Amino acid sequence: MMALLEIKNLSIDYLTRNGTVKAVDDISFSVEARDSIGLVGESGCGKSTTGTAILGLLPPNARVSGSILFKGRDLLKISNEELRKVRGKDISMIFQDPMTSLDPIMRIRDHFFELLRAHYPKMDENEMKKISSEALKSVGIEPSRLNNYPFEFSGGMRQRTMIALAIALQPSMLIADEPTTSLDVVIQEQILEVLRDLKKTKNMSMVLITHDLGVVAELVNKVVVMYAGHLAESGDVYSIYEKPLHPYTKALLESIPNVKLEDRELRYIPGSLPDLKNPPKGCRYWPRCPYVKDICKRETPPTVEVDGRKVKCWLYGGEINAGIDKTSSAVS
Amino acid sequence: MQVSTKQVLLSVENLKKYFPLKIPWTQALLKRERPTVKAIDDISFNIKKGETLGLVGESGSGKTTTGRVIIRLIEPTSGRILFDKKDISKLSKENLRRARKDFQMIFQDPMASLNPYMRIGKTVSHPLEIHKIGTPAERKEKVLSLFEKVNLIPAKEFFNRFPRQLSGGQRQRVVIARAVVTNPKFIVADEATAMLDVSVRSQILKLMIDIKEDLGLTYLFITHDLASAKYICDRIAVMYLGKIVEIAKTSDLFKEPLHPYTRILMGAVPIPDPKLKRSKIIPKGEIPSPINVPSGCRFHTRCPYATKICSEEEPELVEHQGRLVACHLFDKK
Repeated sequence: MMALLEIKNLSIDYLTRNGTVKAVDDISFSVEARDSIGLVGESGCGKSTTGTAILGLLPPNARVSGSILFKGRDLLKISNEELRKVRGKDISMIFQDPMTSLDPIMRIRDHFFELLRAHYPKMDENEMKKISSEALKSVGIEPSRLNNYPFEFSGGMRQRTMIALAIALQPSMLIADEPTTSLDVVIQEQILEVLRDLKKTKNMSMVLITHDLGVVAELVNKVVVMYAGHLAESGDVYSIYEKPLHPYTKALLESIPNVKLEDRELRYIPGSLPDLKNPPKGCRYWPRCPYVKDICKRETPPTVEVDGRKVKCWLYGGEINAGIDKTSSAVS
Repeated sequence: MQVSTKQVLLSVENLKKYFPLKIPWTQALLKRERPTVKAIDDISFNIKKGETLGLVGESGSGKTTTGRVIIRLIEPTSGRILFDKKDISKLSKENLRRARKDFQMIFQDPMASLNPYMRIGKTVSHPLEIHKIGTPAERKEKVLSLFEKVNLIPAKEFFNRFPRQLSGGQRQRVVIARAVVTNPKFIVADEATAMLDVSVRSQILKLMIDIKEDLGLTYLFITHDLASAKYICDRIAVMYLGKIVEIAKTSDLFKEPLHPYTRILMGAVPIPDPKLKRSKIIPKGEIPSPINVPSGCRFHTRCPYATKICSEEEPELVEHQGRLVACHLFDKK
């Protein structure tokens, strides 16, 4: 079966006055129909850049290479006009900050109408009202609130409205960029419930961009871990959480405060993300990696397959197979 | 609350803070009673020396207001705040400023709590200048050693940087350094880690724990993230709509949350384990408006266990198995 979305060798550079920022460097992954994948990593590792690149919403100073195939069509090659038809109807996106992503001087209704008119210029008002009411209902907001302004909504309701807007045209894929980051736990749980429900009832594929591995565990079935623009590891959620292969994944998982675990020892990743204007040579994680070897500092590790997962680390494969048993047991 | 008063550093008694609302002048002329937002409605608690008390709850539950009232960034409506056995709720402005040397605050947003035009060395030594501690050379010495303690290394280089040149985590380190530079006894940390990334969050939590042990501090740790609270707090107070609904030792609270609201908060925390499928109670709706507080127990509108009595009578904070909880389910009167 052909994948719904296939990203191949995607690289994105930002040209800035002080040099080129290599935000995303040669990443590949695919999303099948009804899949939901989580794109995780620290701030600045290129997750949002990847997400926005899918919809062609990058700022003008971005240079993109590689390909993004959606249902076999390369989204990087089609015209703006065609891309506009894809947005909202085939792929939609929810942004991080619900406070600023709605227009404060437009009624909620008009947000929906604008979207619907862009795709179906001849649709009549009753039809549009019907669709918007349905969408609002599916995220748990009374359709009577269509006449309200965004300021009359709380943060959680605004984020629901954003989701309703994103799913109004029944897209086959939803990209959610940190949908719950600015909300508190209870509201976050409500939003996750809405997303979970949508996944079940509307058969939507989802790309969830987040740094919260707890949220990822609740919602997705595949995880792509990114570090400083590189794809560190990808695979299904159970095996990654059970036995992380890449040292970064392991460190990231250990650094989350967990309410369920008994032990109260706090672990964290020492150091911080490298400067992407001149990233470290070789593997980008080596300055923070406890298993660093000489080769890590010289050459970029290849992406190898281990137990059906992809991992980009010298500990697995490459010419130094000799040490693999010893080191992999040290990792696990 | 039966704690020997000898070790108590801060004790809050019947603290209230009501914010009056603006009403149209026509109604003001008619001398209608002004509606108020009951941000804090009669809370009492103690913090012992060297202890970390967590204050958790949803947005809008009054956590931040509590933190600010305690160090009198906001004036309380009524109630007493005893700090080291001295009532600071009545201090004059000048005396308060002097007293502030002993209690400081770490703010939530490291982007907004540093002056963008001030070099961070200056920012951190500013409190020393205000309290007239040391000579300029001594101050600089103190700031440099502090920078090293909070891991802003090389300290000399950081001394002359501007906030815009720092990352979020580094800025929060600066904010922490500024809070401890006057050798305070007590620190209110208001969502100190909420704006940070997971891995940085753990770094900052670790730093706060280390600094606390180093300098013998006492914290009031305000957060909505129960997972972080678990690592740093000795006791946790759960707030809902201006009231404390439960206070317990961290281990007890996590082992068995008593109040239905605590259970819901607990259940809402995402757990980084995909195999765990929990049965969840998700509360309906959002926190009610603090202008029209529900009658009886404030939580009854969202509580899955609500009975008739809950909407009629307000439960008291009573002792149950050595912890305090305000719920009719546990009120054995």
